[in-house]
Parts: sequence; structure tokens; C-alpha cells
Amino acid sequence: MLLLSRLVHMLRNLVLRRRVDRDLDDEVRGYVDMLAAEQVERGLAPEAAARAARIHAGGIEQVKEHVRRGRAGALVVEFGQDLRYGARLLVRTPGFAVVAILTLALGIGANVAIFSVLHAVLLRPLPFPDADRLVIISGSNPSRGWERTSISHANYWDLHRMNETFLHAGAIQPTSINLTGVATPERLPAARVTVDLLESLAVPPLAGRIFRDGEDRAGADTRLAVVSQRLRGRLFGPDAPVIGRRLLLDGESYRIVGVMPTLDVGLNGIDVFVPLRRRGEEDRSSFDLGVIGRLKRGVTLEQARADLARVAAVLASTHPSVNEGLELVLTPSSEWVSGQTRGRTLWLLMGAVGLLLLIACVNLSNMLLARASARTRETAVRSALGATHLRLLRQMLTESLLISGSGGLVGLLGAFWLLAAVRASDPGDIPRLSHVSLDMTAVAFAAVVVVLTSLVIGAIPALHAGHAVAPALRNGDRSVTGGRAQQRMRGALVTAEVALSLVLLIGAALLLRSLNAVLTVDRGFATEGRMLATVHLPAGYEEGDRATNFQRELLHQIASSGSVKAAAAVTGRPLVGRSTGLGIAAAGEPEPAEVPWASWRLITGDYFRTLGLPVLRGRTFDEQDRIGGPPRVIVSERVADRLWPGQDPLGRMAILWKGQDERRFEVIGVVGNMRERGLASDPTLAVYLPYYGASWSPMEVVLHTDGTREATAAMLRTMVSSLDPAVPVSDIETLDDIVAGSLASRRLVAGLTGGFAALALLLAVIGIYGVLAYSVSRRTAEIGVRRALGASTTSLVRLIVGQGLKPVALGLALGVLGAAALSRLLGELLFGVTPTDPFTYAAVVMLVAGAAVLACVLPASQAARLSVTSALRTE
Amino acid sequence: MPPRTDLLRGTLDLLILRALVLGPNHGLGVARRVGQITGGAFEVGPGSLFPALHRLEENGWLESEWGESENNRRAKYYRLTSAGRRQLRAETENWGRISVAIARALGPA
Repeated sequence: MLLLSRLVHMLRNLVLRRRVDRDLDDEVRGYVDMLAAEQVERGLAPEAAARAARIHAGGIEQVKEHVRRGRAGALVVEFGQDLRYGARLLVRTPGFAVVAILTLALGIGANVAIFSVLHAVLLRPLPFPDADRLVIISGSNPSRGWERTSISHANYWDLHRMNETFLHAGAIQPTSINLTGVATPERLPAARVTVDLLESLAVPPLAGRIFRDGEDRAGADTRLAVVSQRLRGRLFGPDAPVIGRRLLLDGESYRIVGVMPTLDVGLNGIDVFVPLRRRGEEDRSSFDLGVIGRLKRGVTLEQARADLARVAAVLASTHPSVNEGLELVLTPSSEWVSGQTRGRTLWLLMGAVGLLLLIACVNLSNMLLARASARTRETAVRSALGATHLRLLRQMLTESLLISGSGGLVGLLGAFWLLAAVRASDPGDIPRLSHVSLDMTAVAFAAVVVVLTSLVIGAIPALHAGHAVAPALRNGDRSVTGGRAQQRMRGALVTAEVALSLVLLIGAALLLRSLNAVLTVDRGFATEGRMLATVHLPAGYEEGDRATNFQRELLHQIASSGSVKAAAAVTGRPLVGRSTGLGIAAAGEPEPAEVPWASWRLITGDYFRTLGLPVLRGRTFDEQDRIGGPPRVIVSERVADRLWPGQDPLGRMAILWKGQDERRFEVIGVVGNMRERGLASDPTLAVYLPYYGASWSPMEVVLHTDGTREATAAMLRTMVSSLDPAVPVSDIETLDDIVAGSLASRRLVAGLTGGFAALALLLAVIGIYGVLAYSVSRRTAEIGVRRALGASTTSLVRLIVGQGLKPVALGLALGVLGAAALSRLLGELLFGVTPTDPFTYAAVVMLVAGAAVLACVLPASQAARLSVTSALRTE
Repeated sequence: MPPRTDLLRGTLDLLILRALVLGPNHGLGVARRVGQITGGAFEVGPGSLFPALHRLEENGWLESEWGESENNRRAKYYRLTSAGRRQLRAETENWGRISVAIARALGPA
């Protein structure tokens, strides 16, 4: 009741301020008039009575002020006054206002933008109910050097049966599937899943249902499909009834039973889910299932880990040939995105913009400090007139809030623009980046940053104002440079600024050097004029030699077209393909302690020539080499060096699939190394087997051509469809684009960091210049005296530059130490350069020192040009 | 007008509420009545009177409206609300307890 009444009055006081004030005026005046009338009745002359009444009342304005200050909402009114006062001050010094607001806008905008990315990609919860109970289960076998492997079918079903801690443990086998019976056949990203997989995600279908118990059982009819909402929209329309409709997938008719909403993180690309059929006898040695588990309610990660360890031990002891050393590893959903390099990358970017904002704050502190000391007299007079210390503090903080708030608003615009730029250069391998936008969370974050910023930039001048009042009144603001304490404070701010920007610059320089190193590293393969296309052979091609005949005919047609210099087929793209691996050993040698893991590819004979990979010894495959023929293998140079160091590998026998179903192959050739897992990864150990005789699909066609991408793509499509119109071709790309794509996220990070670091350097230079220029302007008189006493221009410049550079030198030293400590965090983002690369450090230190000298020389030379008379006149 | 202590401010509020029990009045009238009912012990100046009146009104214990004074001047009249009467009762009891306690504490030992 009381609160409500006060609230109503507060609103009235705020909204009807003029009327409330007029009423108050009338009321108090009426009081004084009545008082005077009483005196007149007692016989006083009217003028004397009026005077007596006013004296008795003790000042009408003071009375009114007392009432106003006690009124509900007085604080709000005062805040408004402070805001208006601050705004007037800012408008009166537009130069200061623009520099201050832009400085903070840079810092805050960059922070809001990067925070938005961080939030959208890492912090926003996964779109699964009770996501904290979701985990990925993967295999690991440290004794064989395998980390995060998929899980074999037999192991999965045993795990499914034996575990005691999972409500659901589902398996997923990513694949792709040919969609025919539509205008243009296409290849759909698909997944075979067990019933438990969709259950474990617990995402309700938009329409229909997910798979039911038993639909993955051996012998069940698995021609059922759950499609993505995206596919439904594309094929039938977003609201079309699709349940019960049929799709021709790999030539068979599938019934649609459900529609799933867009799923996040790894699953979002999948258009069709089909049941993963359980076979009678499961394969234990090929690892191709991903497993997602949902913990039973109340089960901790530790309990689940212990449970998995128990299951792994049973699997190892019952099937030692494949499972010896097997461990089952669990990754909680909170780490699905953040546990990887890109998570660290985003946090690093956040750190970089945090540094940038700190530098901006230091600059602002400095500017406000200078302003505060220029206003020492004003502050002193106001406090002498009765403004309380608290009131003055509030005034100063309101001013800094005004500046940081304006900076925040401009910064939001900047963030909007920066986010658009980031989205435009989406490297494609950062999940959820395309959803990034300035949402309410980002605005709230901006508000928090604005308030914190205003406290940081307002604190130092406000503290200073508290100390400076008494001396200011005493000596009438004649202190030469604003006092020793203040000068030390300025020096410290410059030091901080230099150190912070040095850290940022060194980080950026290391990233840019890494990018350069990646771009110029020896890839092992050529990219000019190279193109790739994916050809998906539908079901039926595994019979006899159909796949090989199709392949041979297609490659023959491509190679004999005029513009193509060479063409070949391979089972995986460099840089982006999923790597297929196997254990490898030299036959007849003692068992090595650790079996090397090599990637394997099926290739046709011209693969090396097409990619520009040199055949160092022996030969490539010819028309007779085929899977099922005499077992022959071509190995990369690294494999040869590893298995047969210093010996001729030709004619030697290599054991492939070591530790699984070991098979012996004769080495017939050695080829150059190739960085096919990524340019920043070491060249892979690679073995190549003949493609002929296998029906592996999809098949990647590689060609070396003079033609344009468009012409080549059209030619390829025509050739494929003339051979078989039901065969889709997809992902026609130049190798240059694939390389660029694989570097896009590295390029983005290096570019952003470099941009932030350049801004930091600019701010630091402005800061150093500002401090020194201010100090010179305050020391005009002293400089005049020095001049008059015969100081030369050179000695004056040296004096001022020397004083300006002292805190800079300290900042450089601290910055180098800071960078050495922090650059370790860059970890695997660095390539071809160490975190403490002396050349980079020296170059950046020189750069910052040079910029600082420039920033100092300008005010110093101005000081040196002062004439004695004009300098002394300011006194 | 020297600033009053918090104790006195509370007392002033109580006295103003008490003064208005007799009927609505304007600022000067309230000050006069407070003087009367305290036998001239309290002389309330405008510097504390008006802030107190406005505070009490904002608390919902008083209402005000413009009217004519006895000598035909426009004046703002304050009237007790029912919440004001309740507050007065509560404060009076409270005050009674306090004054008894203080009298006992200060009385002859």
C-alpha cells in the first residue's frame, strides 16, 4: 500500500514535473503571503511584513529544494540532470566526444560481435532435451596408437546388451544414398541408425514417428525412412503430408514414417534416416559406427565411465585378436563443439577482443583523467558549495556511463556489420555459425560491458577527483603537470597500453606467419587446373565388373576429350574426405612396438600423374592390376622410410590391416608424400591399392584440365548421364577451392586477430600521443624557463621523448613476457613457427617501439618550437 | 532551520498527523496547530514542514487539494486519509511504549 502510493507519486513527480513544481511554488509562496498577512494584521507595514515573512521562511528556493530532494524519484531526477550536464559537456568538446565514443565503440563492438559468435556456436545449449545426459561413445586403443575410433557392429551390439548405465545407446552410420524417381537423380546425405539412436536424442518428430523397437532387428523390413524437414520442404513443400509416401532410395522403395526437425551439431546435414539393420553375424573388425548414448537418470559420468571400462575389458578378453587394448571413451555433449580446436579458437578471439577493449578503456581513462584535472577547479567549487563527495562521484560516473553507453550503441552497429562480414566468410566448418545474429543475449551482453566499461574508465578519474579538491583550492590549479601521483598514474596507463597491444600484436603476427607457412608449405600435390567430382554408383553396380567397366569407360571418355590432360578415380578427396585407415607392417621384420597407421585409397593408374604426385621408384598400376588379382600396393615415401629404412622397398611384402585380417601385398612403387589430411598436418603415411575390381562408391573423379569449371562440370554431367542416367554427380569443385575452403577458418581467425591487433596498435599510439601532448601543454611554462636558461631544441626534444618513452619501454618488456606466457595457448593454430619465435617478437617490438617514438616526437617537437616569450606568458 | 535528527523527524510526522485529526488545514495552519498542541514547545519552520507534508502525502497518509484560506487566499489543504489515521494510531501506541520505556530509563534510579 505504502509502496504503491510512493510509486504512483514517483510517476507523477517524474511525468508531471512542471506541474508538481508549479504547485510547490504556489504552495510555498502562499505560505509566505499568509505569514505576511498575519504580520500586517498585527500592524506592520506591508513591505516590512513581507520581508519579515521571507526571513522567517528562510529562503523560498531552499525550502523548495528541500522538498524536491525528499521527493519520491529524486534520484532519478538527479540522474537525469547529471546526464544532461554530461551531454552538454560532451557537446561542448566535440573532438573529445567523437574520439572517446569511437574508441569505446571499437572495443565494445568487437566484443559484442565475437561474443555473439561464441554464444551461438559454443554456449547456446544443444537442442536436445536434457542434453547433459547425452554422450558420444568412441573407441580408443592407445597400445595401437588409435584415438577416437568408430566402433564395430559386433562391439556395438555387445555394448548395447552389456551396459548398465545407459537408457539408450544408439548407433549411427553416416552414408549417402541415391534418390531416383525424381526429375534429376541426386545423392542425399543419409544415416543408417538403430532404433535407440533417435530415441536417445529425444527430439520429437515434427510429423509421424521415429523408428520403433524391432524395426532394426535381423530380418525386419527396413525400407522405412525418417526424412528431414529440409528434404520434405524441398521435395514436397514444407507442410505437405508426407507420412506414408514413398521414396526411391538406391533403387528401392522406402516408406516415409516420420519427419525430423533440423538437428544441430553433426546431424544437421542428414536428410534421410533409415534403420541400420542388425545382421545375424556381425563384423567385429571394421570400425564404422558412431555411438550416442543417453545416460539413465541420476547416473554420473564417472559411473558411466566405469561401466564402459568394464564392458571394454569383457570385449578385450572375449575377442583379443581385434579388441586387445580396447578402451571405450565417453565425450559429454557439452564438449561436442567446445572440446575441439575451434572452441579454443573462439575463446582466443574473445581474449583478443577483451584485450582490445582493455586498451580502449586505458585510453579513455587517460583522456578522462586529463579532463578531470582540467576541471579540478570546477569540482572544487562545486564541493565547496555543498555538493557531497558522493554526489560528485555519481556525476563523474554518470558522465563515463554516458560515454560508454554512446560507445556501446555505435559499437552495436559495428558488431552488426562485423557479424555480417563473418557470416559472409563462413568457412563452413564451424557449426551453427550461419545462425549468428545480434540477439537479445548479445544486447544484454553489450549492456553489461557498457556498465563495466563505465566503471573501469570512470574509476581512476573519480578517485583522482576525490584527492585533488583541497590542493586545487589551495594553489588555484597551478600545479605544473597535475601532480606527481597523477603523472605516475599516466605512466602506468601507457605501460599497460603498450604491454596489452604488444601481446595482441605478437599473437596476430604468429597467426599470420602460420597462415603464410601453411600457404607455402610443400603440399606434395598440384592444384592448378585440378578438379574433382563425386560420382555415386547406385545399388546394382556391385555385381561383377559393372563398377569397373563404368569407371574405365567414363575415364576413357574424359581423358580423350580435348581439354583434359589426365583423369583418374580415387576413393576419397584430399583435405576434406573422411580418412580410411589401416595398420601396416613389413613382412619378415620383427613386430614393431607400435603399428603405424596409414591412410589407404583405391586409385586408378593415372591418379599420381593427374594430381602431380611424383612416382619416385617403380611404377603405378596398369590395366591388369586389380583387387582380387596379385596383391600389389604402392606406398608413399614416408611409409617406405618407416618400414624399410635405407633399403629398396620394391618387391618387398607389406602386411596391411595389421592387427585385423592381416593381408600381404607386394610393393611395386613409391610415390611422393602428400598432405591430404590438411595442409597444416604432417604428410600422411599413405598406401594405394588398385580401384579396378572394387565397386567402392562414391567414386571421386579427379581431372587435370585447361577448361573452365563450368564447361568441365557440364561435360562431366553429360558423359555420366549418357552412360547411365540414374547416376548422380555432385560436388564439382576445383582443388584450389577445396584448398581455400580447408584454410578458410584459419584465414578468418588470422584476419580478425590481425585486424584487432592493428586497431590496438592505433589506440596505443593515440594514447601515448595524447598523454605526452597533454603533459607538454601543461608544462609550457617549465619549457619556457628551460629555454630561457639556454636549453637547446635537441636537448628539449630528447628530454621529452625520453620521458615519454620510459613507460613505453617498461610496457614493451612486460608485453614480451606476457606474450611468451600466453602464446602457448595458440597451440595447434600455430604452424611452422614456435610460440616464442624470436624473429616475430623482435619485429613486433620494433614496430611498437617505432610507433611509440613517432607518437612522442610530435608533441616534443611542438614543445621545442615554442618561443620563450609565448611560453612564459601562459604563466 | 537547522536540520532535525531522525528521532525528531519521526516526531514531526506524528505531530503533523495529530494536528490534522482536527480537520483539513493548509501548511501554515498545520504549523500553528503543532505549536498549539505542543504548548509552543515545537515551532515548525517551512524548511522541515513542507518536506514532511510532501513525504506523508507520498506515503498515502495525507491527501491534498487546493482551496480558499480564511482570508480568501489560494492554499493547499491537507487531509488525513484512512491509511493516515491507521498510521497515527500505530505511531501513537508506539510512541507511548517508547516514552514509557524512556521515562523508566531516565527516571529516578
